Amino acid sequence: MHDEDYKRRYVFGADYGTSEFKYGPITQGERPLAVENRGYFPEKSVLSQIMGADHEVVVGKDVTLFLESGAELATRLVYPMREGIVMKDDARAWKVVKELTHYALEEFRPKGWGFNGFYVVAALSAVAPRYMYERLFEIFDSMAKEVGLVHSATIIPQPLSVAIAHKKTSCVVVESGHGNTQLAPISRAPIRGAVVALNRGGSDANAIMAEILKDAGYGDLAGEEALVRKVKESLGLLPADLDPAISFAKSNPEAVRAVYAVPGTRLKIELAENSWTRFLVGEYVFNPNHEIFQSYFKRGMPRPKDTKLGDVVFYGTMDVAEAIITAVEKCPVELQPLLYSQILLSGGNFSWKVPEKLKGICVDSTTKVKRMMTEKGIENVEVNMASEPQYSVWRGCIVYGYAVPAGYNWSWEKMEGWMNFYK
Amino acid sequence: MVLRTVLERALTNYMSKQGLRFEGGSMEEGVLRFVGNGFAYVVKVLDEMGGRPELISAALESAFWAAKGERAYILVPRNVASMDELMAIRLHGIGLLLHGTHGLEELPPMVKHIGKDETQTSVKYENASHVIERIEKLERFVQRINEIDTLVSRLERLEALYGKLSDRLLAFGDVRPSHVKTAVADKSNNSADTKTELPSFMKDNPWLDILAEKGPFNA
Ligand SMILES: Nc1ncnc2c1ncn2[C@@H]1O[C@H](COP(=O)(O)OP(=O)(O)OP(=O)(O)O)[C@@H](O)[C@H]1O
Ligand SMILES: [Mg+2]
Repeated sequence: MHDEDYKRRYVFGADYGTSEFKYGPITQGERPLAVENRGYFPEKSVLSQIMGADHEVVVGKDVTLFLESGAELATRLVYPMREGIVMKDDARAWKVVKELTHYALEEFRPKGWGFNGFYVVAALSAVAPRYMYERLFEIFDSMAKEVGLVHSATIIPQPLSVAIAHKKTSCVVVESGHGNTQLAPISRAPIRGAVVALNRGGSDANAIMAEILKDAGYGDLAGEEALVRKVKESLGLLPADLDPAISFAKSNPEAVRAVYAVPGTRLKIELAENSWTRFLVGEYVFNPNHEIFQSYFKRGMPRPKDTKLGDVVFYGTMDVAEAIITAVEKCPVELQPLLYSQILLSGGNFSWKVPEKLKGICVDSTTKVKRMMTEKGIENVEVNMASEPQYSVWRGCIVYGYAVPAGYNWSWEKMEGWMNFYK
Repeated sequence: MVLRTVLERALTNYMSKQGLRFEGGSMEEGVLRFVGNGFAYVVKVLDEMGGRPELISAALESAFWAAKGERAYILVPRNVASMDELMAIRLHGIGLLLHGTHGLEELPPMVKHIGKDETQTSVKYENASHVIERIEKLERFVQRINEIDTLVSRLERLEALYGKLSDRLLAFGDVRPSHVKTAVADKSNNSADTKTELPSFMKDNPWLDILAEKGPFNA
């Protein structure tokens, strides 16, 4: 009981997201802190050694300090993850992960007596290979031995965490971030071997947005990532059905006209007679197989490819409904109806908004998925969107750490339990 | 090379814009002092001749001033060191003023460090007797904690004993002693209390039970 009380007091959640690392202890309440998942490797010098500032890598708010000072970004600024994965041999990336972990835990080191380290629950992508688990446990081990910040640790897949945060015990979690999309059926635990991954995410919607900008005469802006992303989030639309939406746009050009004013500049982006292409952006996320996309591939827009990372195949152009069905059909038959009735969408790439005057023509992501499923003959589908999707992974980590008994030891076979470092 | 008088004027101008008043010192000594905002400010001035060794000793000297609770700055020629090296100094809460052909400019102000540094330096520079006093206080605390630990383990043993006793009492039939009931009622009250403090995503979460059953013998 003693251990259990201690554990509950010191649960710490850590969501290793591709663009942001979200972290904090249970006492944080509803929301974690977030910091960009990146590190800066300053030039080594006698001076920095004498000043005791000879950290090999700087993370967190201090990075901004270096950026403002006009540092060399290309070689010194490291983003450790691509699509949720840290490469095995990327030494600098692992140094960033370690430093961020230390930074986050240190920020919450309790004052006073009786603290023997946190019970850390870390969340990794559902497609993270085993070596990432091993390396992360090594990091926690050194956080225990070198700085006394970790008592025990466990690692769970992000979709499980999302399901827990949304109180759904049987569901299919569809998590779509910037780089890729993961689908994970869950029934009281992740269902093994049923994860499906798509090699498509918000960055692919950016790619088609960039092409559209070129066609509309903004070729000079098409190379600016951050701007293209903003334009996409503001002008991109998700059609209920692509063909009728395009015909609607062509006969009602005024209804689909919109302007994006770039903040802090005089620049206004307006697609004019190309405004109908706004529908292509959202559609492409859900289904890139429409013939209209062929012309974009032909002129050089990269076609999402099937790739293999470890044991997992990332499908390039499989549509979202097909991916859900593929995942569900890997599960026991008696579970399948239950899973279809609890589909949970999460991640920024599902945040499509419906403008008032385009209601019916445009839809939100849950409606879109439901329609696509019905077209494929799957009935009784219920789709929900995660609220505050950026925080749900962390929230699930906190619940997990609070509930899983302190005495349950890590098992590599089951991939659950606590790895104890406090001796 | 920038004329010392020009530099001095630029510095005094800059500091007065920050609401600071000149207090003393001169360019010849290489140190100028200012006051304002409830702090004393010391600016160490370096010229182009000194180079890196001068910068290192200025950084160390400034670190001492900062430790004494003064706001320390170093005024350096723009190209004396790389930006990363200057940042190593900046990260210690020492301000950096750069001068060059475009006049005088301060390196980005720190986000959070000033607050942190203040607490650090105040801890470092308390006098010895104060420290001893605190150690003694801590020792008394440790002793208290040991006493509490003993009490806790006695309490745990008593609880276990109580559990066994009430089990046996129950075995005598349906007659439950009244105090057992209150003990049970108290407990559920307690857990209700802690529930109201739980964040929304924890409340009535069915996963709490599923996960609590996990263990080597279950699941
Ligand atoms: N309103 C919106 N409409 C369309 N896309 C959006 C909108 N808001 C965010 N996005 C897209 O969602 C993606 C980011 O999603 P998310 O934050 O889940 O990514 P992530 O890489 O998984 O981040 P992390 O890994 O840090 O969790 C980006 O491509 C972004 O452009
Ligand atoms: Mg994410």
